[in-house]
Amino acid sequence: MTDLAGMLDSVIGPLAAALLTLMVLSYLIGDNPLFRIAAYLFIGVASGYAGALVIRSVLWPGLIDPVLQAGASGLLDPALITQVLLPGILVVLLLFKLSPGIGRLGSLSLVLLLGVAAAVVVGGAISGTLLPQTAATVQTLNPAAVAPRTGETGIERLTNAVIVLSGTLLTLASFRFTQRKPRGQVSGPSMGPWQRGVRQVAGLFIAITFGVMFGGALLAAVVVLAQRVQFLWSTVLGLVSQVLG
Amino acid sequence: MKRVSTVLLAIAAGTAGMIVLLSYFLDLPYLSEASQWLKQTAVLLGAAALLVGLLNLVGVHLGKIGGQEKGWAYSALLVVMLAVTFTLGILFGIDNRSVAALFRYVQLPVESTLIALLAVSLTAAGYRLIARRAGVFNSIFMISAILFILGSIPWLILPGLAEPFGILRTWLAEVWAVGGARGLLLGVALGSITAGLRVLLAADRPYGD
Amino acid sequence: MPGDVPEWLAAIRAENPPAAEPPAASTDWLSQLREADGSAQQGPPAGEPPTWVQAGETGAANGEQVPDWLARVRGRQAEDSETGEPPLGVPNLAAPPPARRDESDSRPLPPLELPGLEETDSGVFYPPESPKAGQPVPGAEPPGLTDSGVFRLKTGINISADKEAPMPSWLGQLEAEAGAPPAVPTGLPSVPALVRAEDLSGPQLPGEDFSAEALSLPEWLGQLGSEAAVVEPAEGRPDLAPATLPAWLEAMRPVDAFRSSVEIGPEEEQAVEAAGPLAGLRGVLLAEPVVAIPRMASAAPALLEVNERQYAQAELMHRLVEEEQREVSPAAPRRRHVPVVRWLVAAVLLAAAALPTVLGVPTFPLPSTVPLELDPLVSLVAAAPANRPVLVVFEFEPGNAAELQAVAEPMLEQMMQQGLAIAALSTRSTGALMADQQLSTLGGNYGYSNGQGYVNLGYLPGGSVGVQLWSQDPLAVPTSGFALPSAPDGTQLQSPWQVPMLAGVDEVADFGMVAVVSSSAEAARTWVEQAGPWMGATPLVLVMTTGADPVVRPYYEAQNPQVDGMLSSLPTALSYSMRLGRPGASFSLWNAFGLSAWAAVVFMILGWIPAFGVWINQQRKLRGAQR
Repeated sequence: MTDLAGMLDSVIGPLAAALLTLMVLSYLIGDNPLFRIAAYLFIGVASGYAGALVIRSVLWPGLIDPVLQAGASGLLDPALITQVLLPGILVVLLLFKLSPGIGRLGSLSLVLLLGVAAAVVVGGAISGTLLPQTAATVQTLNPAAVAPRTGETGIERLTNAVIVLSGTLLTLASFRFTQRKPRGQVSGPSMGPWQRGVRQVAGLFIAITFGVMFGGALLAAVVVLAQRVQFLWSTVLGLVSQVLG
Repeated sequence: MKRVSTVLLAIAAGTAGMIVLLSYFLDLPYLSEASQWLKQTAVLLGAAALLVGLLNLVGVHLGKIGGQEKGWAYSALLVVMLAVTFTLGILFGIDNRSVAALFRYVQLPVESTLIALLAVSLTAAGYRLIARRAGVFNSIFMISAILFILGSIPWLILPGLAEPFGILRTWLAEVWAVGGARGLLLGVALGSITAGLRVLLAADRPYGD
Repeated sequence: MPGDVPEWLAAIRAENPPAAEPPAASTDWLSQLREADGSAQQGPPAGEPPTWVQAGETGAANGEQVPDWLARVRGRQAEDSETGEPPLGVPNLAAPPPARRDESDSRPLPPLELPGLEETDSGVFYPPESPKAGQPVPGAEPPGLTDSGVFRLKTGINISADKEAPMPSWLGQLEAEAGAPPAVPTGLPSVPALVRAEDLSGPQLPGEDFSAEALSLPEWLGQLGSEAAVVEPAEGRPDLAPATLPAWLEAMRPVDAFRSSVEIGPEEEQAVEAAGPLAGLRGVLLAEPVVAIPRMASAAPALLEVNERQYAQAELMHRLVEEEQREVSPAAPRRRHVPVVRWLVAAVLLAAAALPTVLGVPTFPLPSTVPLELDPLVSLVAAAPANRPVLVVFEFEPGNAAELQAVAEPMLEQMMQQGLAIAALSTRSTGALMADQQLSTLGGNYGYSNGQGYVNLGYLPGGSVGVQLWSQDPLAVPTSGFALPSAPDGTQLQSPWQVPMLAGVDEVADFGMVAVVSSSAEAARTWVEQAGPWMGATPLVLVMTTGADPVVRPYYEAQNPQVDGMLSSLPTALSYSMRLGRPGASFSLWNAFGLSAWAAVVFMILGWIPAFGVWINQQRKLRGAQR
């Protein structure tokens, strides 16, 4: 068994991983069955693991284990009812969503989940981003402030502060959730000339921001590519050394 | 009847959401307890929702296998691997050696290689963007990206240029990009607040009617 | 006398001479009958009765068997001769008796109205106000058999024998057999005669010799002649009496399209039929040239009234038919797209990554500049209290493990160098596995093991809700841990919170530091927004992938930052590792990373060459157009 485990970790496992890596890299030539096999294998393993994780790590200790531990006598415990049984009923109702016919029974569970999630997002956005970032934007205007990370002062800091503030305000102004056409206008652009100007300048900041993000994403992917090539080479070397003894 | 149930569901979503939202700003005992209970229930429901999604995935692929549709063999492979991994995880635990081996030698290499393919895709996309659509904003976009990369990587030739490009990279990433990113953050936050409030006020019903 | 032209017929002929001469090649039966006797003499031929008639009589006299009907006819003849009535001749034709209807079946018909029609002097039609059927017309002979054997027409469609009028004996006998002859209905509509009295010369067959008395003709035929002989047509009056259609019959008539106003002119103005079996008759539809001689249809019926909708529908139908007939051109063979650019990029990048790995060249210089955020981070980790564990949140997918494990490695190594207890947590399903993999690998260098040095809290469900709930009360969210160690007494731990290193941790603020290693800005933002308010003085550090760094940097670059430390990109991690004096994964990846990144940048810069070429081309075209 130990030998098998050792072989799994030293030969079989790395060999399988190397083969799967090559099968996925074959997509660079074009879509082919080898790539599809590797992709479907991955989805199957990932899904199966996620399902087992949810049951063993969440649903079992959260719903089933407390009921088993409480036993029949403890089912009437108010704490158990509120903390376990009621949520358990809602969980079971949610499972009905799998069936189109009785899916409506799971609507209550779904609305509770979505309502709570929406509230958490709203609360976090207000207290965690909107207020602090607005304050940070305002504080940028303080001429006496020192750049917190770079330690810049004076003209250098002011120049950077103006750039940051301009970028913030112009980018925010370019967001349009709702826009009304000017009165009396039926067709044509819905923006006035000054709005178009704001969008043009804001586009500069957005282009730079997204350009930096693009460059960062490319560098991250290059690191992973280099690591994959290194892995393949190390696997080959390992297998050769295994064969040669 | 359907209309009544729709209204009741909207009321339920709004009530639950308002209780949780108010608990962010108000410190009331019953409010905190109710908010706590709702969040705990939502955590369990979130896990159950993941399970529902997985079961639906299995159902879809089983349907493809049963109907012998195009690519049913791949679906069969998926279902088999899912069943094997799930069974091993349930029986022996998710931290079991066999499950860890499946993760390390199947999921990890495939997912890593998929991300590695991004390097080729992004480079080709950048080339095509410049070659075919070299407009003003596209050029600014690509110039920013190239300057950022040149400021991040080591210079073999002309190593003296590494430092100026490094400073330029810092100025781009920590001044220009921060201004734009802060605006994006504020915009995203406002959008999230709007979308969340619409759900709470039943103006949007993503849970269906 | 048999064979003589009756007076009435002669009178009519004198008044109305034949308008049209019969055609030379006439085939009408009447002409044939005339030709049969070889003369133009009208009327039955004179002479002896036909031999077979005589033979019949002789046969009868000789006691031979004669048909019953013949016997009856002879009997009647004998009676007539006794009563002075003109003898009946043996009918050559089995002339069907006039249509008789039982009294019970007969129903008086409503008067027929024909507009423009008036009483005809020979016709049968009588207007309702005219003398009733059965009543003799002034000056007209009563209906009945005439000397020529032609029955004078009685009034009414229901041709029933008029008891008052003299009728042939055989006719009367038939009536007697059928029962009491029905009364002549009054007010019956009349139908104009098809054969005028003056044109009648009695049915004659070639080769047969008949006497007028021997012929049995319908009474209406006789009536035709008598009335024509006596009644003078009024000047300016049409011959036919107008008839009135009953209401129910009027309702049954087709719609106006077929309603035609029939105007029947006076008899003398109507043409005489010259061909066909009705040759010599007036008031009939002419066979020629309308019917017999084919001719082109007039243009009037071909002119259709088409409205716009019908026209559009016709056009649509026409188009549909045309499209059906049109041949579909074969689809052009699909040009296979050859991704030349992608192949070239893939080959260059893979070669760039493999060259330093396999051959060890080139070797790039290590970073000389230290990023600005590195020093604060190192200080922060160095300042973490030793008696409080550090929470490290592994918020990345296995695909980003290569980069983030290399970037986070020096920070974890510094923590382990300082002997800080590390608690791992993740909201990703595979996060616990990633954490276990890295901590077990790194911890081996520092004597760290699961339960001793680090503990894996496992999977945190619920996303942002779970983070917020866990930040408030870590025990409120069920986490079963990952690869839990055994207790000192050997028993299996049931919860990660039973691990001694986590004693005293009741909330997130009890940790010495929280470091979030994230591959996405969303996950980092979630921890900043949801856990930040509950962290108190506990510093928050973000270890980010290079691509998401700009999005979360505003949290760091603020007067009152929400994030106390940031670490991203491989060069920064290499600098960090160099500071610690422990080259890690970032060092092994440095050369391959450098060469691959240069290959990517050069390839993108080369994209401006075709762009420049396109621009030159456009300028040339513009100049050419301007000229």
